[in-house]
Amino acid sequence: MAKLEIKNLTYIYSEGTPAAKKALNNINLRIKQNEFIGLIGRTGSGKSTLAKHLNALLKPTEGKILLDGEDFWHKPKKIRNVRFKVGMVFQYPEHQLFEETVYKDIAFGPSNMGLLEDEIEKKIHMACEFINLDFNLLYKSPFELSGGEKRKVAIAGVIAMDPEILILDEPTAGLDPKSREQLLCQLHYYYKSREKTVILISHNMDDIAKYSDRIIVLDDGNLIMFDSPKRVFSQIDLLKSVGLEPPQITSVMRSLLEVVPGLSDEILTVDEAVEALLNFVKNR
Amino acid sequence: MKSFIDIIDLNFSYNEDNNAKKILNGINLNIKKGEFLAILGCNGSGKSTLIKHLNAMLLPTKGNVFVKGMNTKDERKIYDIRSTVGLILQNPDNQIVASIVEDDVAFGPENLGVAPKVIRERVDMALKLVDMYDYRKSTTYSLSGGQKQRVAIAGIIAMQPECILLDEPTSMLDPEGRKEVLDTIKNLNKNFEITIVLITHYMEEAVNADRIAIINEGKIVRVNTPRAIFSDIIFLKEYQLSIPPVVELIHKLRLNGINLNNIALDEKECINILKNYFNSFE
Repeated sequence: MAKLEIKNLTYIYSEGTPAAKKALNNINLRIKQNEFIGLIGRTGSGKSTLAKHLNALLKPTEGKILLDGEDFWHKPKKIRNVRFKVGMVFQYPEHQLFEETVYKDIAFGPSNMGLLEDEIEKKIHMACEFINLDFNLLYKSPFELSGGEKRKVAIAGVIAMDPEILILDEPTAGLDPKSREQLLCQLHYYYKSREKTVILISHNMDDIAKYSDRIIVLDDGNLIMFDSPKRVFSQIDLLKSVGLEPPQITSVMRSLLEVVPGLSDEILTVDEAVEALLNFVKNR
Repeated sequence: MKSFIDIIDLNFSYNEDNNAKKILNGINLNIKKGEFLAILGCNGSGKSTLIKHLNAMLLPTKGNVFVKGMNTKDERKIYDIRSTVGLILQNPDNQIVASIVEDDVAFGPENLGVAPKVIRERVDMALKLVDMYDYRKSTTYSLSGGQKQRVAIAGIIAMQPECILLDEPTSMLDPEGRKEVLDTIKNLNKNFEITIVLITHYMEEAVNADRIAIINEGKIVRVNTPRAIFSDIIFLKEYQLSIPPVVELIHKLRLNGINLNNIALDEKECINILKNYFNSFE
């Protein structure tokens, strides 16, 4: 059974007014437990609108979303439970830090779930470990921390709720290359070791290609593709038509086809490219 | 080329006391007129603190910064310095003050007391330069991030600065917006001889610069051309800078005995180098 199933989802902003705009158009998706999903599309394609539906911040105009087979909006009064199970990290989440100490800030989510004090503490430690946040920072004010540390605290606040599905909207924007790599590794580890589902929204195709099991491509509210990175990025012409570029290495390899016949169009990483080119040299 | 900005033994800490952590620790750097300089370094390395010294937003704790010979510590020169050197920040939303595009661009020259007729000319010129002239009557909130950032740049250009500082101007933008802003920066530098100082985390933006300065823990660890910087993979790894995939591809092929002489800085160069190699392979 699919962990998360999206059936005929359509969403119209400001429905019934002259400003009405269809943001999502009949989307159908089945996402499994323990999948790492990349969500891509140009600005305005509907990525964030879709993400907000998965966290029950928006209610479908048409269609439904099922979590473990149960309709999200079946009991609207219990909608908080959906938000505990599906955690959402917004863009620039550090802007939402508000507590006196890092500890209290991370504790906010689990406290709202009604957990006991010692359980909360355990969750906080678990979250800090996953996100590689120094325990010594727990009793500082979040406003004394560096940008990268603040980002970690904000993400830890969502992980502390131990969600089954974790959605992150551009979590690496503004981070330096090293912090970016670290954060993505830790998310990948969270998904692997805890068998969680992670949905990552990003404009960085190299990151998406490297970490995703499957990739959702949206354009103008329509689902264009939902497939493995190799399949998605080998469709260079289709990607370009929806304003996306494949990873740099994939384009380079595509351009080399005329001089290196037989080169695969599914090469995504530097190491795969090196291997393919060396093989070609060896076999001549 | 004559020096435009001189940074001499610049030290900075947020506290006056001697034990306070030094954010900048003995920086020496000359920026030439018309140069495009990129600054790279980790979060917290002091990049933004450095750039804020170049238009007197911050003043040195020790050492001096001269802009066209004017010391930034000289209060009488502060308006001259700020109209010579403009600053663009990361978040486009924080830099837009008016609700109509052309009003926003006019804000700077109005404050400088420029005559209305001249303001009109400068606003039109600036908007054409960043390719936003067709949007001059649009509302600012309806623009995309890349468009907003270009309007912010137009607002600086309307003040006719000789130098523009940009602190991660593209980090909140999508790839399309990033390209628009980078093309604008390159155009200003190449065709209008405006000196550019660009802080970025994107190596593919830095390769467009004349020189790259690398900052680590408040010190400049290296200044050189992009080609020289990106040839030294060991150095890049040491300072945890990301290596552009095309640079890494060529590097790894060379390590595996493929005889390539050049390094590639961008996709085009990489394709050319490899095409040449494999063409002569027959």
